[in-house]
Amino acid sequence: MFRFLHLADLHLDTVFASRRDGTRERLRSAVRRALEQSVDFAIVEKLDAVVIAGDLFDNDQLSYATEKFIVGQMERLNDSDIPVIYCTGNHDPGGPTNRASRIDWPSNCHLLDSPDPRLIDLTSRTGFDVSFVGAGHDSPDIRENLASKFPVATSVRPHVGVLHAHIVESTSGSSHKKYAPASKDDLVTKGYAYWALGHIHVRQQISNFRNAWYSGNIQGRTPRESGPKGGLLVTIDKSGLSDVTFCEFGPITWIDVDVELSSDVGHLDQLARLLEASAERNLSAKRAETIVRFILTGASSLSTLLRRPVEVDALEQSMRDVLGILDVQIDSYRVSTPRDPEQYRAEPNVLGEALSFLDEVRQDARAITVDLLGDEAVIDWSDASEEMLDDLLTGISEDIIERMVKDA
Amino acid sequence: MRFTRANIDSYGHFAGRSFEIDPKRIVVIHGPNEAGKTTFASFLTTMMFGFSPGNIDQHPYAQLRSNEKRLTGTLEFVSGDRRRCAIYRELKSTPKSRYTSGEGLFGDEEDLRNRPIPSVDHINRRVFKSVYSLSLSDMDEIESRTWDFIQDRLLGGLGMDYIKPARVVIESLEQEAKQFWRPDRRGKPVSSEIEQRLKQLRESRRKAREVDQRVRDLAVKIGELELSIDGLKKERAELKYRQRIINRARPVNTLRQRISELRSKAGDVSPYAELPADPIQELRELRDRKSELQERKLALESRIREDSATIDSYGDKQVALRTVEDEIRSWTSRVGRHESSVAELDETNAQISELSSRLQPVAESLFGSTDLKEILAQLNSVNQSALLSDIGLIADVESARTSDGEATARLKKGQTIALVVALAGLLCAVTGVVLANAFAIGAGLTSSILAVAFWLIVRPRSQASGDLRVEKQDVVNRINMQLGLLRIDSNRMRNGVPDSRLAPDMQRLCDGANEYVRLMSRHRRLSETVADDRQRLRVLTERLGTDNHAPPTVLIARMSRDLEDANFRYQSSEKARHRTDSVRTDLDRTDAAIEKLDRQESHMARLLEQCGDGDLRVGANSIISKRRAQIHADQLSETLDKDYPDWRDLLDQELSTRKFTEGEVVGTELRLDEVEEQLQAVASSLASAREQIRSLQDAKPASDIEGEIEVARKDLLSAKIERDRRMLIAAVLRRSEQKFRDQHQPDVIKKANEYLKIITSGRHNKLVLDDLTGSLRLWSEDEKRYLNVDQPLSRGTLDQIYLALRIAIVDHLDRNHEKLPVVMDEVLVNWDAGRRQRAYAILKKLSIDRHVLMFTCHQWMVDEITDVLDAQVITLG
Repeated sequence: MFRFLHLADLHLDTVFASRRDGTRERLRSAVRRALEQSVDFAIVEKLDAVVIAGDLFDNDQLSYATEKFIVGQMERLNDSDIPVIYCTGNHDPGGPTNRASRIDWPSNCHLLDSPDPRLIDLTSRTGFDVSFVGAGHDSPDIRENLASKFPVATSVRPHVGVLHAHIVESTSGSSHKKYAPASKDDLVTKGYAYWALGHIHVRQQISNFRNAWYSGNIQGRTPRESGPKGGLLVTIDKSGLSDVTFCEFGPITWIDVDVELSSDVGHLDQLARLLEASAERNLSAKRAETIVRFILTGASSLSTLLRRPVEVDALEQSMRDVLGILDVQIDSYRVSTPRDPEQYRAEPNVLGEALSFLDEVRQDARAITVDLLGDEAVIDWSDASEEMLDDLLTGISEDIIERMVKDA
Repeated sequence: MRFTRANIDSYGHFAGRSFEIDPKRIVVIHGPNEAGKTTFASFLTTMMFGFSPGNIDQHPYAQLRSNEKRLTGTLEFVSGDRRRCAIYRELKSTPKSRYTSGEGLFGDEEDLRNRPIPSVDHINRRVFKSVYSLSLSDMDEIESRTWDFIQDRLLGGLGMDYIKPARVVIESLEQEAKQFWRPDRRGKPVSSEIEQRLKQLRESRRKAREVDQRVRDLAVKIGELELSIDGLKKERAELKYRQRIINRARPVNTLRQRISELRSKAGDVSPYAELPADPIQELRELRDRKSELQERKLALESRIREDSATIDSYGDKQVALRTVEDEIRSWTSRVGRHESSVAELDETNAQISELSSRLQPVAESLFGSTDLKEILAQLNSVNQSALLSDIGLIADVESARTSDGEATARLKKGQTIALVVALAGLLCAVTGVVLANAFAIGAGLTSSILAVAFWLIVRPRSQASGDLRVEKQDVVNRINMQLGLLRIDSNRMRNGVPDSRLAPDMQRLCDGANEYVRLMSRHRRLSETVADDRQRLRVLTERLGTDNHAPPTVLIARMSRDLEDANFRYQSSEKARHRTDSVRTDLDRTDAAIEKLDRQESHMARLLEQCGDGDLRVGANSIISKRRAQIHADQLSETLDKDYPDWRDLLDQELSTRKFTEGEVVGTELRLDEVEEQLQAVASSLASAREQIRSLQDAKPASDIEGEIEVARKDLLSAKIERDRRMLIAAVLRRSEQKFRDQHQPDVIKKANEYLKIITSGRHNKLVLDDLTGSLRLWSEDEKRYLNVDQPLSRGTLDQIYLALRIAIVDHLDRNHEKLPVVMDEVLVNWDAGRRQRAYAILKKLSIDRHVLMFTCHQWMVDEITDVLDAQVITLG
C-alpha cells in the first residue's frame, strides 16, 4: 500500500484583496498554517509521499521569508523521510528567472519544472512501489497540452500523474484561465492509477473518472472559494486506486449567504437583523475563523443607500461585531428599487422614452455605451469586460426612475 | 368621448345617485365644500381607468353599507365614433366590470376586470390625472415657478407633474459624476483620492520589494560571510597549528635533552634497585633490629620453660576427679536428701512397733490369734467395707422391724373399725332407702365411703412391715457367709447374728491393718533408697581410691575441693599448652627474622663494597648520586608528558624537525592576529546582516500592499464605473428628452399656436422654439421681433400661452386617439374677469372636440359660465 497527500494551489504569498489589514494578515498566515498542518498530518500519519500539483506560491509576490518558510516545511518532511513530488504551475513556473528553479530545495524534494514529463520511482514504507510521472510549467502561460506528453503506463507498478492543467470537463473551470489544457480522454488513455491535478480551485473528481482529482486549493482566498479546503489523502494498492479522502487543512472558511430583500426591508436596522438571522443559520462553531459574504438581491428602498461604500462599510463593520466573525463582505449592487419600470415604460414622457431607449441600449450595450459616453467616458468601454458592463448597467432603469419620478 | 350618465350605486358618500350629463355642453359640477365634487371626479376617473387601489379595504372611498364594503357604479358615454358605451364596475373582494359598446343586437360586452376602458388605453391614470385635470395649483405655478421650469414640464414632460424635468436630473447627475471623477484637477473627487492612495501604495510596494530584495541580498551576503568565516577559521587553525608546533617543539626538545643527560649520568642502576635510598642508615637500622630480635628470642625461651611446668602439674588424680565431676557435683546436692532418708527410715520403724502393740489385743479377741500378718491376709481376702456395711445394716433392720411391728398392730385395729363403720354406714343407707330418709341415706353413704377410704390408705403399711423381715434375713445370710470365711470366733455370734461389738472391733482392726500395710510399704521404700545411696558412694570412693569410712557429708566435701583444684590445674595447663605453641611459633619467626637480617646485612654490605671498591661508605654515596639523576630524569619525563601530552605526535610532525627562523615565528604571530581581526570583522558584519534581516522581515510584505492596491484599484474602477454610470444615465436622459421633444414639441407648439390665435384674437399666433437655447419665443407684432416667453411678457399673455400649451398637449396626446374629457377644478377662480373671458374662449374652442367638465363651489362662477358658455349645471349636495 502507498499513501500520499495530494495538495495543489496553495498560493503562498498570494494577494488578498480585502479592505482590512487584519483580514489580509489572517488570510496570509492561514495559508501558511494550512501548509504547516498538512505537513504535520503527513508526518503523524507516516505518509509515503506528499504531492504538490503546482501553484505552491505566487512567483511575483513570493517574499524571502515565505520562501524560507516553504523550505523549512520541506525540510520537516525530509527529516521524517517523506519525499515530495512538486510540479510547477502557472503561478510558480520553473525556468532560470523564476523562484521555483532557484530555490535550494532539500534532498527529499523532486522538482518537476519542465514540460517534459519525468518519471520518479518511489517505494512506500511497506515496500510497495509506485511510479510518479510529472511535468511542470516553465513559463506562466503554457497553452500546450502537457497531459498528452505523458507516457502510457506499461510496467506493473501503479503510475500516478502529477500535473497542473485545465481539464475541459472540470466544473468551475470557466473562472480559470485555460493553461495546459487537456481533456478527460487524455488522462484516461494513460492508464494511470491516479492523476493528482492542480489549477482548478474547486475540489472535484473529473467527470466521473474516479482516477483523476483536483484537490482544490488548501485555503479559500476569495468569497468564491467557499466551504472547507485542504488536500486529498490518496491510497494506492495492488488493485490500483483504493481510496481518496478529503482532509481539511484550511483554517479560515468562506461562507456565501444569499439574502433576498423585499419591500418590507426599508431600514438599515431591519436589514442588519435580516442579515444576522440569515448568517446564524449558516455559521458553525469556528466563528472567529469565518468570513461571510452576503449576496443581496431583490428590490428594496435601500438600494440607493446600499450603493454607497460608506454605508456598506459601516454595515459590514456592524455585522462583523454582531456575528463575532473574522470578516464580512456585502455585495449589494444587485439590489434594485421597488419601482417597476414597466409602469413607466409606455408613458408619453422623457422617462418612458428613456426606459424604452435603455431597452435598446441593452441590445448592444457596449457599442451604444461607447456612443453615448463618447469622450466623456473615463473607462474605455469598447474594451471593458462583460462584468464591468454588467456593473454599469445593472439597475440603471430603476436608478433613472428613482431620479426622474418625484417623491421616489 | 363624452359622458351621458353617471349612476353611482355606492362610492364614497354617494349611494344610489344618478346624474344625467349633457354630452354636447360644457358641464359645471357645482356644490359647496364637502358636497362630493372630488368624490365625483374620482368616480369618473375610476370608471375610466379602474379601481386604484384594487383592494376594497384600502380604497379611500369604500364605506360600510349593509354590513359590507363595496364600490359600484356605471358610467355611460358616447365614444368618438358616436357609439353609446357603458362601463359598470364593482369592487368587493375583487374588482369586476362589464363594458358595453354599441346598442342592441350589435352591442359588444366585455369583462375588463380592473383594466381601463378601451377609449383611454393610450394614456394611464397618472397621465390623465396629471395632464387632463387642471387645478388651481397648476395655474398658480405660473406665479411661483420660473418659466424655464414650466416650459420643461410642458414641453419636456407634457405637463406631467410627477416627472422631474430631465434637465434638472441631468444637472444633478453631472454634479454627482464630478464627485467621483473630474476631467480637470479641481475639487477632490473620489477617484483622485483613490489615485493618490494608489500612488502611495505603489510607492510602498516598490519599497517593500526593495526590502525583500535587500533581504535576499543580505541572505546571499550572509552566505558569503559564512563562507569567509569558514575560510578564515581554517587559516586560523593552520596558523595556530604552526604556532603551536613552534611554541611546543622548543621546550620539548630542551626537556628531552636534559632527560637524556640525566639518564646517562644515572647509568644502569637496576642492580642496586633493591638498595634503599640511604644504604648506610639502612644498614645501621638492620643491625639495631637484629639486636632487638635476639633479646626477644631469650624471653620466649624462658616462657616456654614456665609453661612446661604448669602442664605437668595436671596429673592422673586430677584427670580421675574430672572424669567423675558430674557425679561429685550431683552428690553435693544429694547428700542432704540421703541423710533425711536415713532419719525417716528410723521413724517408720518406730511407728510400726507402736501399731503392732496396739492391734494385737483386738486380733486376739476376734480371731484368737496375734499373728497380725495372717489376720491381715484374711481380712484382705474379704470385702471389708461390704462386711462392715452389712453388719451396720443388720442393726438398722432390726430396729426398724421392732418399730414397724407396733405400727402394724395399730393399723390392723383401725382397719377393723373402718370395716365396721363402713358396714354400719351401708346399713344406715339401706335403712334410709327403705325409710326414704334422705338424711339417713346421706349419712350412711358418707360414713361408708370414709371408712373404705381409710382402709385403702393403711393397707400398704402393713405390707411394708412384711418386707423388712425378708430383707433382714438376706443380710444375716450374707454376713454369715463372710464371717465364715474369716473364721471369726463363734463366741462373737448369736443365732447367726454378730454381737453388737463385732462391728466396731472389725472396724478398728480393719483400720489398723490398712495403716500397718502403709507403714510397711514406706519402710521398704526408704530402706531401698538408703541402701542404694550407700552402694553408689562406695563405688565412687573406690574409683577415686580414697578413704570411704568418713560420713558421706565429709566425703563429698573433700571430693568437691579436690575437684576444684583439678579443674584449676587443668585450665592452667591448657593455657600453657596453647601459649607454648604460640611462643614456639614466635620463637621460630624470630629466628627466621634474625637469619633474614643477617642475610640482608651481608647482601647490602657486599653490594656497597662492590660499588665502592670495597668501601661501604663510598659505595653508598655513589649509589645515592646515580639514583638522584635517575629520579630527576623521570620527573622531567613526567613534566614532558604532562605539559606536552602530544609530544610524541609532535616528533612525527614534519614541522617539528624544522628549524623556524625568528622572522617566520613573528610572521606567523602577525598573520594570526590579522586573521583574528578579520574574523571579528566578518562576524560583526554577519551579525549586522542578520540583524538587518530580522528588522527588515518585520516590514509589510509586498503581497499585502498588493492586496491594498487591488482593493484601491477596485475602488477606483468602481468610482469610475459609478461616474460613467451617471454620465450614461445623463446621456440617456439627454437623448431621450431630445427624442421626446422632437417627437412631441412641433405638434404641441402648432396646436398651441392655434389656441393662441383664438385667445388673442389673432394678435399672437407665432410661438416658436429657439434651436440654440431650446427656449420658447413669441413673435411680437408690435415690436416686430421674437420675445422670450418669460417676464416681462404680461401675466395675461403668459396665462394665455400656458393654457394654450396645456390644451395643445391634451390634443397632442389624443392625436389619433379618442379625445378624452378635460376636467378643470377651480382653475379660473382667482383670475380677473379679463383673463377669465379669454380662458372661456379657449374652453369654448376646446369643448368643440371634447367634453369639458368644470368643478366649482362658487355660484358666481356657475352663473358666469352658464351665461358665457351655455353650460349644463349639476348641483351636488
